[in-house]
Amino acid sequence: MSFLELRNLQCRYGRTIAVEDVSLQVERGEFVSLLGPSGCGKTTTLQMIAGFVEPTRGSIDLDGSDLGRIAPNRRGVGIVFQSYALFPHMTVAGNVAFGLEMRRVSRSDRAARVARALEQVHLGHLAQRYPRQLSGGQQQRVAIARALVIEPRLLLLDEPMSNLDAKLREDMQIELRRLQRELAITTVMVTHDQNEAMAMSDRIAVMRAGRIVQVDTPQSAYEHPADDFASNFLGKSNNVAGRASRGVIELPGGVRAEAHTTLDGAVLCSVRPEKIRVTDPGRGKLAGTIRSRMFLGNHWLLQVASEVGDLLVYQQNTGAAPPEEGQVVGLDWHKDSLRVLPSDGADA
Amino acid sequence: MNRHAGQPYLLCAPALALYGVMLATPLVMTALLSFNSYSDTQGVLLTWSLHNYASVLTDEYYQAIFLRTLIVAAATTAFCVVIGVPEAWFLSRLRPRWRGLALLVVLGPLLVSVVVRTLGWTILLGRDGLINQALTGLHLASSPIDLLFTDTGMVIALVHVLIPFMVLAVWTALGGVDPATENAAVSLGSSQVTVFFRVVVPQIVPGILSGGLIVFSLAASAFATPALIGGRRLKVAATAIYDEFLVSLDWPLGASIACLLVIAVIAIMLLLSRVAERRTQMAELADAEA
Repeated sequence: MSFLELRNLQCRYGRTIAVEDVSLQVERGEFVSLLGPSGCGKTTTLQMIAGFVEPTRGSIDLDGSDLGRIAPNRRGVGIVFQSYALFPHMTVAGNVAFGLEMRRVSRSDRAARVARALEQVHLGHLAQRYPRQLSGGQQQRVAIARALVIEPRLLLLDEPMSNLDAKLREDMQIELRRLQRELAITTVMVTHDQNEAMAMSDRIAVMRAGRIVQVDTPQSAYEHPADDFASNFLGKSNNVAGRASRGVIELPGGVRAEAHTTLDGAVLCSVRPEKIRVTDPGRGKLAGTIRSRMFLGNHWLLQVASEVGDLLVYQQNTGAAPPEEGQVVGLDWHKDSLRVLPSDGADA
Repeated sequence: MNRHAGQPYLLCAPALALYGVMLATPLVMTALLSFNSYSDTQGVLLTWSLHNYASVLTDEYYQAIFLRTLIVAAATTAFCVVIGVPEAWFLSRLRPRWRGLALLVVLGPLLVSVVVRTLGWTILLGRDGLINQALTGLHLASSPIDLLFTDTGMVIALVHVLIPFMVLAVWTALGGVDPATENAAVSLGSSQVTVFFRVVVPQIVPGILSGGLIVFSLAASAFATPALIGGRRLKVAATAIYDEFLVSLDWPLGASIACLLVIAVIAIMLLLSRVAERRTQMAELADAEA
């Protein structure tokens, strides 16, 4: 049995269903992200674990005991909120000490543990400041220290980085991951940022419309997306509808491509933009015309018109000039890079 | 830019003129009147002295009136805080649909004419009123309790009508509180009661303070409710002023009581906000030490 187990969770607000059916197992010490667009139910799922929202069906087990029977203030769960939710009328030390005070930790013990928690997030020198005197990044560190100081059984992160600028976000991701590993604390993070989810998690649960679409390690979720939605939410993908029979896919314009698949009938072919190579005209599996090119620093983003439709191609910036707009090129990919997904027709 | 320099003043002019004519002028005239004297045979005499103030401040009759006014206003404010602050908190946590309805109920007393509302209270509070009938009928009291024509009755009626001001002021302050801070406190182990006192109340002190100041000044200068519930015997400053002006016709004396009431209310309000500011600073310091 897993450390945290969500079983068939459902949550309705009146007639609207926020979470349809979510089941998830999280092992002790694992970092799992709930990834999905806004409104997919990821935050509601987190709030059900925290106890702020009652599930209308299903159960949550933590370390073998049913969380549904435990009041939210007795669950021993540390939470870092999107807004940080620091107490504005208390100092940094007061904020961090609050949870210990509620646990009736003695005054001297409290001071030592607060100091240690603030050291962990490198904020020891700001203990006597008020939250309004801190930068966004510092406020977030306080929020993390406040959640960790109570030595929670489970750490919940609700879009923790969404209010930070890009550079700081990357630093915090590395630091938060380091802390999580060091303390070996089981963590569930909610995010809509695929890069954040991939960078930090042991496993990613991709959510859509109140359900989990796929749970996998970042790498296999990226390489083997379960469906059209997952392939587009986790990274970019060229998805082309076709018909499969015995490992050969018939694509629009009479193009045929080989792939590893057992599916037959209507399917979606998915190729990641970085897996497509631009070759000389007349070579490769497909001919195309460059419609536009965009310089993105370490690579170029090419939009190529082809017989199967417009395709996105990433080309590594090796210093060589990329093809001009309007130029005819060939496109090639390895057979292994072609993913064949069931056609659900939803996004056709 | 300079062309527009005078524009703000120009735009403020109508409001300033209105204030000047409607508020400042009568206040100044009342202040001037309070220095005049009055004779039964000749009416108001244009003399200039402080004798009206001296007679009000030294007369035990007026001292008792002022003391009653302040006690009633202070008690009303205290009850409004104790009832209104949790009320506003509960209202703010209701679902949006119920919130609008509940707010309408809270604002109800303000929508009813003061005379109708106060006469309603006299029906409830009288010796044979509903409250006493219920108390004696349930054998909770052996004989009727005096509520009408008492300070208690006055406070009850004033709390009823003034509580919306407290609720609205606190409501506004609650709008600035991040609801996630309450969830954060719960996740850290607080009960709802602790959340309210340790997390919510400290964040809405300015709202409680402004609500308290509004309630206090309105209660101290209330006229209709004390006049009807307090009756002829139990006078407060506002009813005493009324009597001086319209019964004794001693306008200068009435004006001096009015001035003293204004000064007293302003002084107490300043003192209260000072103390409250000091308090929040001390609370922050205490937290810093913890």
